[in-house]
Amino acid sequence: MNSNNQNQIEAYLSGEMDAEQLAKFESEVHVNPELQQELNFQSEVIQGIGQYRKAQLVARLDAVNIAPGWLSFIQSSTVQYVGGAIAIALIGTGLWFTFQDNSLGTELTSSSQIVVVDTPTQQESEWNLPKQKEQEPLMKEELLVVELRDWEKVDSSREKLFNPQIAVPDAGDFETETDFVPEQAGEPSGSTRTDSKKSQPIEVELVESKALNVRYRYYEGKLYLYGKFKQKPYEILEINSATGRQIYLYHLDTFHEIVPSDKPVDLKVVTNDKLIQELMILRKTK
Amino acid sequence: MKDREILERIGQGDEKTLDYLYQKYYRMMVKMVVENSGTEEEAKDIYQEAVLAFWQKAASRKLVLTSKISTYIYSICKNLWRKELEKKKRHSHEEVDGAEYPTHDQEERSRIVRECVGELGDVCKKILTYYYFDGLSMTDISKKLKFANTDTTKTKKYKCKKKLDTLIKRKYSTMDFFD
Repeated sequence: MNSNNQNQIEAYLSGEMDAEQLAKFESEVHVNPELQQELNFQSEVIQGIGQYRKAQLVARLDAVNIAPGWLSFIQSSTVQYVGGAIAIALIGTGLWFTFQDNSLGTELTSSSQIVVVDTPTQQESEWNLPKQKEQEPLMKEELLVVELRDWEKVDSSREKLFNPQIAVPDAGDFETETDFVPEQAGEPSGSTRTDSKKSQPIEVELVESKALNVRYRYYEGKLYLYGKFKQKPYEILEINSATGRQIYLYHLDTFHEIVPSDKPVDLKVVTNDKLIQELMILRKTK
Repeated sequence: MKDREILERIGQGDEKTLDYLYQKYYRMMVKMVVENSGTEEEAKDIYQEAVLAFWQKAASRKLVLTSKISTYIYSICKNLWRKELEKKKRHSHEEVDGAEYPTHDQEERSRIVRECVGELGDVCKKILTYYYFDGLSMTDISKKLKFANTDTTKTKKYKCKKKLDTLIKRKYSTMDFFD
């Protein structure tokens, strides 16, 4: 089989021949069994390559996470969510009704109406904790100096004070999650991949508001809540699966879905019964 | 993401855009099939088939959109589902005609081809699947795989294809498919 025949076969199979070339080629195939056999062979090969690729792409699509509340909850909620819930972070431990008793919180609220209720980040727990363990005596002393500062200051102070000599992970792996956008929630690349960006707890900022309705703004990975949270506690349920993050707020015995918004919006009550049941289970198993 | 951008990105073989597209219209397309006597599983299969048909058209840059992408995919879904319903109807009234199914030999040959593709190196697999299934141009494959130029890509594609042919022919001959 010469290369001209190979080129002809390829052009024929990809439909690139014009009418004249097609007629000529087909008549040649009729009288040339070797060409006929090679054509059949190439046809099978190209078809097989297609089947291989198609299976690859179908597997990719199967791994795309369809928005929660849709089939993922109806069809395989247990598999997808409880399974994905290995990485579940239930943050903002929720019981903020003791807020005013917290010395940190008291100091902050006395100077401002905005109350930072951020919790230690994963960065803190993953690579500062070993340092604290190894240098425990020093930490106790130094904590006296920094005990009334907010989390960010404590964090940076510790970095400086302990002057870490332990190998730490590449900081690039622990960027803040400012690039979380809903479009990326569907990225299926590697359903078993663990992504430290996505497993970091979200940052929450409370803004005391006299308005009757609780409103929120969820922008660049930070959640701002506007309402009277001193009287009524809230909880944040954060579901991290391999493909995305979904935030729910539990407040006044109701679950609310939090979606990204750069403007303050009203809370949207979750009405899907199955989703509510899932969230109740998550709250209880916290 | 605007339709034009989606089309351009898929033209470059950007698979993340495929994910985005799939997620974006999932609800709409699946609803259509489910509301027309389909199960959710059938709806998903039909939608995947439609999205991949769109992917092939767009990746090979053969698509000139005269409507919105959603309308285009919706019409593919609708046609595919109509065909599926007709097929179901036929099968419920007639005896299953064995002639339309591949023979055991055909199935075995297909399996061997897929197996041989899987045995290729990563680069060969990508070049051949991007070229023969996705329909990406040599220029787009070169960019995607960061090859110096299209000549390099053409040479690699030629060598990969030859390697695959040899692998398959060797396996075919051990199975007596050439006799």
